[in-house]
Amino acid sequence: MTTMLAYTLAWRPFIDPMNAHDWWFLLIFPVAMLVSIAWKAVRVDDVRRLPRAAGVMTIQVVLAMLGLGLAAYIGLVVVLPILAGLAR
Amino acid sequence: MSDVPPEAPIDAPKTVPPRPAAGGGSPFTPGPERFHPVAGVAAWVLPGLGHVLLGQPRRAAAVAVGVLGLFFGGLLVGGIDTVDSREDRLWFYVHALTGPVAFGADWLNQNRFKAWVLEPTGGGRPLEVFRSSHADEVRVDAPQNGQMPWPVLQRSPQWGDDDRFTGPRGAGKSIGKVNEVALLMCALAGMMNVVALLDAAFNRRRPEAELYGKGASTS
Repeated sequence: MTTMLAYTLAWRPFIDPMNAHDWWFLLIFPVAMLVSIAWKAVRVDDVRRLPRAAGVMTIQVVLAMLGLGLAAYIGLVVVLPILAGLAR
Repeated sequence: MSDVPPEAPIDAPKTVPPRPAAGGGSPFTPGPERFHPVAGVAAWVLPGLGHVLLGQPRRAAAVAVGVLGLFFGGLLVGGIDTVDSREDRLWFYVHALTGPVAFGADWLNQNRFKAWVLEPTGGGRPLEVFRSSHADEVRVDAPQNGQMPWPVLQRSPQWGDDDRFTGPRGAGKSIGKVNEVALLMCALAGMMNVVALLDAAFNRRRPEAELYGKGASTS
Protein backbone atom coordinates (compact mmCIF):
# COMPACT_ATOMS: atom_id res chain seq x y z
CA MET A 1 0.00 0.00 0.00
CA THR A 2 2.73 2.43 0.96
CA THR A 3 4.68 1.35 -2.10
CA MET A 4 1.66 2.12 -4.28
CA LEU A 5 1.26 5.47 -2.53
CA ALA A 6 4.90 6.28 -3.17
CA TYR A 7 4.42 5.35 -6.82
CA THR A 8 1.45 7.68 -7.13
CA LEU A 9 3.16 10.55 -5.38
CA ALA A 10 6.31 10.05 -7.39
CA TRP A 11 4.57 10.00 -10.75
CA ARG A 12 5.99 12.67 -13.03
CA PRO A 13 3.65 13.44 -15.95
CA PHE A 14 5.15 12.86 -19.42
CA ILE A 15 8.20 11.17 -17.86
CA ASP A 16 6.92 8.19 -15.89
CA PRO A 17 4.25 5.80 -17.23
CA MET A 18 0.77 6.36 -15.86
CA ASN A 19 -0.50 3.70 -13.49
CA ALA A 20 -3.45 2.88 -15.73
CA HIS A 21 -3.11 -0.91 -15.72
CA ASP A 22 -6.60 -1.34 -14.24
CA TRP A 23 -8.44 1.09 -16.48
CA TRP A 24 -6.40 1.23 -19.71
CA PHE A 25 -9.47 0.33 -21.78
CA LEU A 26 -11.08 3.65 -20.82
CA LEU A 27 -8.38 5.37 -22.87
CA ILE A 28 -10.49 4.45 -25.93
CA PHE A 29 -12.54 7.60 -25.25
CA PRO A 30 -9.73 10.22 -25.55
CA VAL A 31 -8.08 8.26 -28.36
CA ALA A 32 -11.32 8.07 -30.36
CA MET A 33 -12.05 11.75 -29.69
CA LEU A 34 -8.60 12.99 -30.73
CA VAL A 35 -8.50 10.81 -33.86
CA SER A 36 -11.96 12.08 -34.78
CA ILE A 37 -10.90 15.71 -34.33
CA ALA A 38 -7.81 15.24 -36.50
CA TRP A 39 -9.69 13.28 -39.16
CA LYS A 40 -12.69 15.57 -39.36
CA ALA A 41 -10.40 18.62 -39.42
CA VAL A 42 -9.38 17.62 -42.93
CA ARG A 43 -12.69 16.10 -44.03
CA VAL A 44 -15.44 18.63 -43.25
CA ASP A 45 -16.10 21.32 -45.84
CA ASP A 46 -17.43 23.85 -43.34
CA VAL A 47 -15.14 24.03 -40.32
CA ARG A 48 -18.07 25.25 -38.20
CA ARG A 49 -19.53 21.74 -38.45
CA LEU A 50 -16.35 20.19 -37.07
CA PRO A 51 -17.35 19.82 -33.37
CA ARG A 52 -20.57 17.98 -34.22
CA ALA A 53 -18.92 15.83 -36.88
CA ALA A 54 -16.07 14.91 -34.54
CA GLY A 55 -18.53 14.12 -31.74
CA VAL A 56 -20.58 11.83 -33.98
CA MET A 57 -17.45 10.05 -35.22
CA THR A 58 -16.19 9.60 -31.65
CA ILE A 59 -19.44 7.85 -30.71
CA GLN A 60 -19.28 5.73 -33.86
CA VAL A 61 -15.70 4.63 -33.15
CA VAL A 62 -16.45 3.73 -29.52
CA LEU A 63 -19.60 1.81 -30.50
CA ALA A 64 -17.69 0.02 -33.27
CA MET A 65 -14.98 -1.03 -30.80
CA LEU A 66 -17.62 -2.26 -28.36
CA GLY A 67 -19.27 -4.19 -31.17
CA LEU A 68 -15.99 -5.77 -32.23
CA GLY A 69 -15.28 -6.72 -28.63
CA LEU A 70 -18.72 -8.24 -28.26
CA ALA A 71 -18.36 -10.13 -31.53
CA ALA A 72 -14.97 -11.47 -30.48
CA TYR A 73 -16.38 -12.52 -27.10
CA ILE A 74 -19.32 -14.34 -28.69
CA GLY A 75 -17.05 -15.99 -31.23
CA LEU A 76 -14.50 -17.21 -28.71
CA VAL A 77 -16.70 -18.00 -25.70
CA VAL A 78 -19.93 -19.17 -27.33
CA VAL A 79 -19.46 -20.21 -30.96
CA LEU A 80 -16.03 -21.79 -30.78
CA PRO A 81 -16.89 -24.23 -27.92
CA ILE A 82 -20.01 -25.28 -29.83
CA LEU A 83 -17.97 -25.94 -32.98
CA ALA A 84 -15.37 -27.80 -30.91
CA GLY A 85 -18.16 -29.94 -29.45
CA LEU A 86 -19.54 -30.73 -32.89
CA ALA A 87 -16.13 -31.82 -34.10
CA ARG A 88 -15.77 -34.50 -31.42
CA MET B 1 -11.18 29.14 -69.49
CA SER B 2 -12.81 28.00 -66.27
CA ASP B 3 -14.99 30.48 -64.42
CA VAL B 4 -13.78 29.15 -61.07
CA PRO B 5 -11.35 31.66 -59.57
CA PRO B 6 -7.89 30.33 -58.77
CA GLU B 7 -7.22 29.57 -55.15
CA ALA B 8 -5.70 32.45 -53.24
CA PRO B 9 -1.93 32.30 -52.81
CA ILE B 10 -0.45 31.30 -49.49
CA ASP B 11 0.45 34.87 -48.58
CA ALA B 12 -2.93 36.31 -49.56
CA PRO B 13 -4.28 39.01 -47.20
CA LYS B 14 -6.73 37.57 -44.67
CA THR B 15 -9.07 40.56 -44.71
CA VAL B 16 -10.89 39.65 -47.92
CA PRO B 17 -14.65 40.02 -47.27
CA PRO B 18 -16.82 36.88 -47.50
CA ARG B 19 -18.18 36.20 -50.94
CA PRO B 20 -20.05 33.34 -52.57
CA ALA B 21 -18.36 30.99 -54.92
CA ALA B 22 -18.25 31.94 -58.55
CA GLY B 23 -21.31 30.77 -60.43
CA GLY B 24 -23.51 31.05 -57.32
CA GLY B 25 -22.60 27.60 -56.01
CA SER B 26 -21.68 26.67 -52.47
CA PRO B 27 -18.74 28.66 -51.12
CA PHE B 28 -17.33 25.35 -49.90
CA THR B 29 -17.14 23.86 -53.38
CA PRO B 30 -13.50 22.81 -53.80
CA GLY B 31 -11.45 24.73 -56.32
CA PRO B 32 -8.91 23.24 -58.68
CA GLU B 33 -6.27 21.11 -57.00
CA ARG B 34 -2.92 22.79 -56.47
CA PHE B 35 0.31 21.53 -55.02
CA HIS B 36 1.58 23.45 -51.98
CA PRO B 37 4.99 21.94 -51.13
CA VAL B 38 5.80 24.60 -48.53
CA ALA B 39 2.53 23.93 -46.71
CA GLY B 40 3.25 20.19 -46.82
CA VAL B 41 6.68 20.61 -45.27
CA ALA B 42 5.33 23.07 -42.70
CA ALA B 43 2.65 20.55 -41.72
CA TRP B 44 5.38 18.07 -40.84
CA VAL B 45 7.47 20.66 -38.98
CA LEU B 46 4.53 21.56 -36.75
CA PRO B 47 1.13 19.86 -37.05
CA GLY B 48 -1.37 22.44 -38.28
CA LEU B 49 1.21 24.93 -39.56
CA GLY B 50 0.55 23.92 -43.17
CA HIS B 51 -3.10 24.93 -42.90
CA VAL B 52 -2.10 28.19 -41.22
CA LEU B 53 0.00 29.04 -44.27
CA LEU B 54 -3.01 28.25 -46.46
CA GLY B 55 -5.15 30.73 -44.54
CA GLN B 56 -7.14 28.08 -42.67
CA PRO B 57 -6.29 28.79 -39.03
CA ARG B 58 -9.38 27.13 -37.51
CA ARG B 59 -8.77 23.93 -39.41
CA ALA B 60 -5.11 24.20 -38.38
CA ALA B 61 -6.10 24.49 -34.73
CA ALA B 62 -8.21 21.35 -35.00
CA VAL B 63 -5.35 19.46 -36.68
CA ALA B 64 -2.94 20.60 -33.97
CA VAL B 65 -5.33 19.61 -31.17
CA GLY B 66 -5.90 16.18 -32.70
CA VAL B 67 -2.32 15.32 -33.65
CA LEU B 68 -0.46 16.92 -30.76
CA GLY B 69 -3.17 15.77 -28.36
CA LEU B 70 -2.58 12.18 -29.46
CA PHE B 71 1.20 12.52 -29.28
CA PHE B 72 1.39 14.19 -25.87
CA GLY B 73 -1.46 11.98 -24.68
CA GLY B 74 0.74 9.00 -25.55
CA LEU B 75 3.62 10.53 -23.61
CA LEU B 76 1.31 11.24 -20.68
CA VAL B 77 0.09 7.64 -20.59
CA GLY B 78 3.35 5.83 -21.33
CA GLY B 79 5.95 8.33 -20.22
CA ILE B 80 8.98 9.51 -22.15
CA ASP B 81 9.97 5.87 -22.71
CA THR B 82 7.15 5.57 -25.26
CA VAL B 83 9.25 7.32 -27.93
CA ASP B 84 12.43 5.28 -28.24
CA SER B 85 14.37 5.04 -31.49
CA ARG B 86 16.64 2.28 -30.11
CA GLU B 87 14.32 -0.14 -28.32
CA ASP B 88 11.18 0.52 -30.39
CA ARG B 89 12.73 1.38 -33.75
CA LEU B 90 9.82 0.32 -35.96
CA TRP B 91 7.35 2.24 -33.80
CA PHE B 92 9.65 5.25 -33.92
CA TYR B 93 9.48 5.32 -37.72
CA VAL B 94 5.74 6.01 -37.35
CA HIS B 95 6.18 8.36 -34.38
CA ALA B 96 8.65 10.41 -36.46
CA LEU B 97 5.81 11.32 -38.83
CA THR B 98 4.55 13.65 -36.10
CA GLY B 99 7.53 15.89 -36.80
CA PRO B 100 10.49 17.30 -34.87
CA VAL B 101 8.57 16.97 -31.62
CA ALA B 102 9.03 13.17 -31.85
CA PHE B 103 12.77 13.55 -32.41
CA GLY B 104 12.92 15.92 -29.43
CA ALA B 105 11.15 13.45 -27.18
CA ASP B 106 13.45 10.66 -28.36
CA TRP B 107 16.54 12.82 -27.74
CA LEU B 108 15.33 13.57 -24.21
CA ASN B 109 14.71 9.88 -23.59
CA GLN B 110 18.11 8.79 -24.88
CA ASN B 111 20.15 11.58 -23.30
CA ARG B 112 18.36 12.44 -20.09
CA PHE B 113 16.62 9.30 -18.87
CA LYS B 114 18.08 6.09 -20.25
CA ALA B 115 21.40 4.83 -18.93
CA TRP B 116 23.83 1.93 -18.90
CA VAL B 117 23.48 -1.12 -16.70
CA LEU B 118 25.31 -4.42 -16.30
CA GLU B 119 22.91 -7.26 -17.12
CA PRO B 120 23.90 -10.72 -15.82
CA THR B 121 24.24 -13.35 -18.52
CA GLY B 122 24.11 -16.48 -16.37
CA GLY B 123 27.73 -17.18 -15.57
CA GLY B 124 29.42 -15.26 -18.34
CA ARG B 125 30.66 -11.72 -18.40
CA PRO B 126 27.81 -9.29 -17.70
CA LEU B 127 26.55 -7.37 -20.70
CA GLU B 128 26.61 -3.59 -20.81
CA VAL B 129 23.08 -2.64 -21.81
CA PHE B 130 21.72 0.83 -22.53
CA ARG B 131 18.11 0.79 -21.42
CA SER B 132 15.30 2.50 -19.55
CA SER B 133 15.33 2.34 -15.78
CA HIS B 134 13.14 0.11 -13.66
CA ALA B 135 11.01 1.38 -10.82
CA ASP B 136 13.60 0.56 -8.17
CA GLU B 137 16.54 2.16 -9.97
CA VAL B 138 18.06 5.60 -9.96
CA ARG B 139 20.12 7.22 -12.69
CA VAL B 140 23.63 8.10 -11.55
CA ASP B 141 25.71 10.40 -13.70
CA ALA B 142 29.09 9.29 -12.32
CA PRO B 143 30.63 5.89 -13.16
CA GLN B 144 30.26 3.40 -10.35
CA ASN B 145 33.55 1.57 -10.75
CA GLY B 146 35.29 3.29 -13.61
CA GLN B 147 34.68 0.38 -15.97
CA MET B 148 31.21 1.27 -17.17
CA PRO B 149 30.20 4.02 -19.56
CA TRP B 150 28.11 6.66 -17.86
CA PRO B 151 25.47 7.43 -16.77
CA VAL B 152 24.53 4.17 -15.09
CA LEU B 153 21.47 2.76 -13.38
CA GLN B 154 21.75 1.62 -9.78
CA ARG B 155 19.26 -0.01 -7.51
CA SER B 156 18.12 2.63 -5.05
CA PRO B 157 18.42 1.65 -1.39
CA GLN B 158 15.58 4.03 -0.62
CA TRP B 159 13.26 2.77 -3.31
CA GLY B 160 11.36 -0.44 -2.68
CA ASP B 161 12.98 -1.15 0.67
CA ASP B 162 11.87 1.87 2.64
CA ASP B 163 9.20 3.21 0.31
CA ARG B 164 11.19 6.39 0.11
CA PHE B 165 13.16 7.73 -2.77
CA THR B 166 15.74 10.43 -3.15
CA GLY B 167 18.06 11.66 -5.83
CA PRO B 168 17.72 11.57 -9.60
CA ARG B 169 15.51 8.87 -11.01
CA GLY B 170 15.43 7.61 -14.54
CA ALA B 171 12.12 7.45 -16.35
CA GLY B 172 10.16 4.34 -15.43
CA LYS B 173 9.87 1.59 -18.00
CA SER B 174 6.56 1.62 -19.79
CA ILE B 175 5.14 -1.91 -19.87
CA GLY B 176 2.01 -3.92 -20.56
CA LYS B 177 -1.24 -2.59 -21.94
CA VAL B 178 -0.35 0.94 -20.84
CA ASN B 179 2.74 0.84 -23.05
CA GLU B 180 0.73 -0.59 -25.94
CA VAL B 181 -1.89 2.14 -25.72
CA ALA B 182 0.79 4.83 -25.42
CA LEU B 183 2.71 3.49 -28.44
CA LEU B 184 -0.53 3.36 -30.39
CA MET B 185 -1.48 6.93 -29.46
CA CYS B 186 1.88 8.33 -30.63
CA ALA B 187 1.69 6.21 -33.80
CA LEU B 188 -1.83 7.47 -34.50
CA ALA B 189 -0.50 11.01 -34.08
CA GLY B 190 2.08 10.32 -36.78
CA MET B 191 -0.42 8.74 -39.14
CA MET B 192 -3.00 11.50 -38.65
CA ASN B 193 -0.27 14.06 -39.31
CA VAL B 194 0.40 12.38 -42.65
CA VAL B 195 -3.29 12.78 -43.49
CA ALA B 196 -3.13 16.45 -42.50
CA LEU B 197 0.16 16.89 -44.37
CA LEU B 198 -1.32 15.51 -47.60
CA ASP B 199 -4.42 17.67 -47.13
CA ALA B 200 -2.22 20.76 -46.78
CA ALA B 201 0.03 19.84 -49.70
CA PHE B 202 -2.87 19.16 -52.08
CA ASN B 203 -5.39 21.67 -50.78
CA ARG B 204 -8.41 22.84 -52.79
CA ARG B 205 -10.19 24.91 -50.16
CA ARG B 206 -10.53 28.67 -50.06
CA PRO B 207 -8.95 30.63 -47.19
CA GLU B 208 -11.21 30.91 -44.15
CA ALA B 209 -11.14 34.70 -44.23
CA GLU B 210 -12.72 34.45 -47.66
CA LEU B 211 -15.37 31.99 -46.46
CA TYR B 212 -16.32 33.41 -43.09
CA GLY B 213 -14.92 36.93 -43.06
CA LYS B 214 -12.28 38.14 -40.67
CA GLY B 215 -13.08 37.41 -37.03
CA ALA B 216 -16.28 35.50 -37.78
CA SER B 217 -17.38 33.06 -35.09
CA THR B 218 -17.09 29.37 -35.84
CA SER B 219 -19.99 28.44 -33.58
